[in-house]
Amino acid sequence: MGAMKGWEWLARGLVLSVLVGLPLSLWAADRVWNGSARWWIAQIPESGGWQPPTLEVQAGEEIRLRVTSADVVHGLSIPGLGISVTVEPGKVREIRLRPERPGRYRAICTVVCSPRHGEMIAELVVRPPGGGPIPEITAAPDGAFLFQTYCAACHGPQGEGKIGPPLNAAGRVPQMDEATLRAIIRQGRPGTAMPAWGDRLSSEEIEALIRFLRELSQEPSRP
Amino acid sequence: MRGAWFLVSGIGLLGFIAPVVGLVFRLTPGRTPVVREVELLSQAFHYDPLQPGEAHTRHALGGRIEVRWGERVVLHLRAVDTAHGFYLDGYGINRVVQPGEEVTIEFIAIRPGKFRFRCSETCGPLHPFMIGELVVTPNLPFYSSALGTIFLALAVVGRFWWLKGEA
Amino acid sequence: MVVRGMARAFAYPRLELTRCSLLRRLVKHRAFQFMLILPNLAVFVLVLVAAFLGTPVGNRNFAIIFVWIVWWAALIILLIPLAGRIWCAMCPIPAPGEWLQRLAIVTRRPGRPFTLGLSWPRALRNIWLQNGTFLAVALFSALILTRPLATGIVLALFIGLALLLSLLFERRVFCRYVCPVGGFIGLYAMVAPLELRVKDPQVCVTHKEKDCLRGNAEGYPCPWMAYPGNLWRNIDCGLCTECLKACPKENVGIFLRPFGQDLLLARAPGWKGRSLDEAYKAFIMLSCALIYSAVYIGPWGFLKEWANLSDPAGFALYATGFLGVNLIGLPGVFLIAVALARWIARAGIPLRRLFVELAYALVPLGLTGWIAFTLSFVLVNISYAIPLLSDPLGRGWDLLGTASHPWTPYIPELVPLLQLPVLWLGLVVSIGLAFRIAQQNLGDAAKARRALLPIASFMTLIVLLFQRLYLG
Repeated sequence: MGAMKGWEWLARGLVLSVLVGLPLSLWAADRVWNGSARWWIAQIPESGGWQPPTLEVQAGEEIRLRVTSADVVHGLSIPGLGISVTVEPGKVREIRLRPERPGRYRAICTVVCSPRHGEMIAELVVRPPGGGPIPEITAAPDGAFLFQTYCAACHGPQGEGKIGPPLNAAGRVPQMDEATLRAIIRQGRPGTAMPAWGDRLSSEEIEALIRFLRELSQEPSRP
Repeated sequence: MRGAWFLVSGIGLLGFIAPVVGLVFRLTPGRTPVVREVELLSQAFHYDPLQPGEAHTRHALGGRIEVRWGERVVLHLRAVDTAHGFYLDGYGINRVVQPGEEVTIEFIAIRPGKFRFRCSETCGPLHPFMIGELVVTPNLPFYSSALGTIFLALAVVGRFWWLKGEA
Repeated sequence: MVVRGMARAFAYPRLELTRCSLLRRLVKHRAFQFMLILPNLAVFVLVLVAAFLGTPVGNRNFAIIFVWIVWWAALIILLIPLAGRIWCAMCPIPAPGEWLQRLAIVTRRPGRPFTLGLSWPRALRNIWLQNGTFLAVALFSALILTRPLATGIVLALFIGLALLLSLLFERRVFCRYVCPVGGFIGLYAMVAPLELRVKDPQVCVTHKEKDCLRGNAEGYPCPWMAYPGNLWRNIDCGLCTECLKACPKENVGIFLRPFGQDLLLARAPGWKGRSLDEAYKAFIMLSCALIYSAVYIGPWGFLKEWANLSDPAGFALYATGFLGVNLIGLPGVFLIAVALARWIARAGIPLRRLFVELAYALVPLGLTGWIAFTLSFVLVNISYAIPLLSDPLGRGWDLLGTASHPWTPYIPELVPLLQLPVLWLGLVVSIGLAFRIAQQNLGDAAKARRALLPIASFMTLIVLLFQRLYLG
């Protein structure tokens, strides 16, 4: 009977270590892998879009941004910070960044993930170190980056055309004037898949895109 | 009576060998391949094959493509709602398609039988069950193994009828 | 020949495994069952943590892949066909309740158990409730199989219910009468070549104290409420080994035996004989294997959408069809086959009786149907388990460096070649069993041969249906 008492205590210890120790060690493992990380979880807009919709960080702070998807394939692009990654369901992508300039940075999904894909917009808010108002960003937008972010999904990474018409030298861009291009980008093409970008892109961004489209349509073999 | 039983059992055994021949060995017919073009729409959680020019109505019935043995199959794969994949059993083909793209997949139907294609890009909860069928006709493995089943059953029942003494 | 299936003190050859002294000492050790349960308890805790806190993406979550692919495949392909109810011996779900009842984990604590100790209602001492709980879970399988949270809730409900019932009722009524999994494990365990039985029933007849029933200092009274002296079928025994420990006569052992002996049994002392609740379990399992093969492996998107509760009207249709086939459709067609058999054989036995008796012949076919269905997804999807070893919660860990291992189907095009022999084995065994059962009930071989024709046709039709889904 004495020996059995020993077994009983051993068993109780083992059960306790499984019921308490195991969850604790899972928690500890998660601290090791994810300790200081900030999460951005992608979901189709029908289920709520980016979680959280707004991510706030301090300027100059080193951030481990861990991005994952809870449903289907998405992409994360923050044009103002030059970030663009694919986000696959259940897989975690880590982005390290140290945003220096305070401001509101728009983050969007770059993969057509659902019929309401276009609404999948979030915001990275970089607060000034000492507090105070968050300034608007005024840097000149990068047309090539904007193109990859917003246009390439339909018009192809080199503007060679996919469901959208080609925008390279083979297309009709060379024959269009600035006003026509501006109008198409702003208002979209009703009756086609081309959305109106007027409320999503600033005029500076649209001008940068038009400049890039001009470059693109002059070089037949742009890499 | 013993003879009858052995005959039936023997045919039953052939039923097992026939699908092995169909599935394991690639028997390529030696004629010029006929091209079979199919538009294949993918959406959570099924595939819709369309005939060229057919408009897409959300019928969502069987995601089944039937081609003849030896035909060159050209699939134009598109995604309706979100990114999907196309993994074809027995061919090692694995492609991903995003909405707005058209991915063209070409292969020769070298073996008769039914081969499943499966979504290979996580597309939602039922993603592992997003399955379509490529049936390469004549579906010899199915017909021969079905005959095998019938003869096998006959052989077992026949054991009690024909081999009374030994049962 | 075993005429009329009377249990003649084990009319089949048996090899007593517990004659090996090492194994005997192991199973007689009070910590034996605990050692089986402990690793499964650890996995179960991990499953629950993953289900509630891990990624909602099913194929990247430990709970979904390790329960519904790894555990399920091991259970249906290996554990049940080879070792019967061995899972019930190692299942962690009833463990907390049982430990609480005993106020001990491994020791034999004397005195009153910690429970109200109600006895289970007589009307429910069958597996009808298990048929119901299984159908309830099976109906919502598309949600449970694919959403970690749903799996977590269902498992938490199981463990909560097991705990509650152990506080209200005596012993393991949850396992015996409620558990949806225990029901079919028991039915198919009768096929297994492993049994826990007495060595000599005569010893039990003359042994008045019945330590196995009452318990003694070495062992608890049978948690499954079985009397080993009258234990003839694996369905009634959870392999917990308490009677092995308690028996002062050393009259209990674990035996290797030919497959499927319990199904040949027609009458035995202390057993009421084949019954409709178990017959229905056989119908339900066979129907579900067919329906799932169509819904999950088939190409019909609308079935998947209905099963997935995408729209209420579709789900209502699906539920009606699902329950209809399980409860009326397949049993109905089988009833017609039995009526034909009875007519062809000019048998005097009541139709209902023959229907129940012959339904047991569907057990091997049902088990092989489930193995075939399981084969259709296990080789294709087992590679999902590899990244989960490194990242069980889908939280971006990489413990073993396998976190980015891609989904890799193994020999998917050859799966039908594995399914065919499995189904054919089931067909051959089931037809043979149907003949034996017909002989037991109709008396002579000539009548049994005639009765076999419609029954074998029914079974052939079932296999052809599976074949149509897998190869056609």
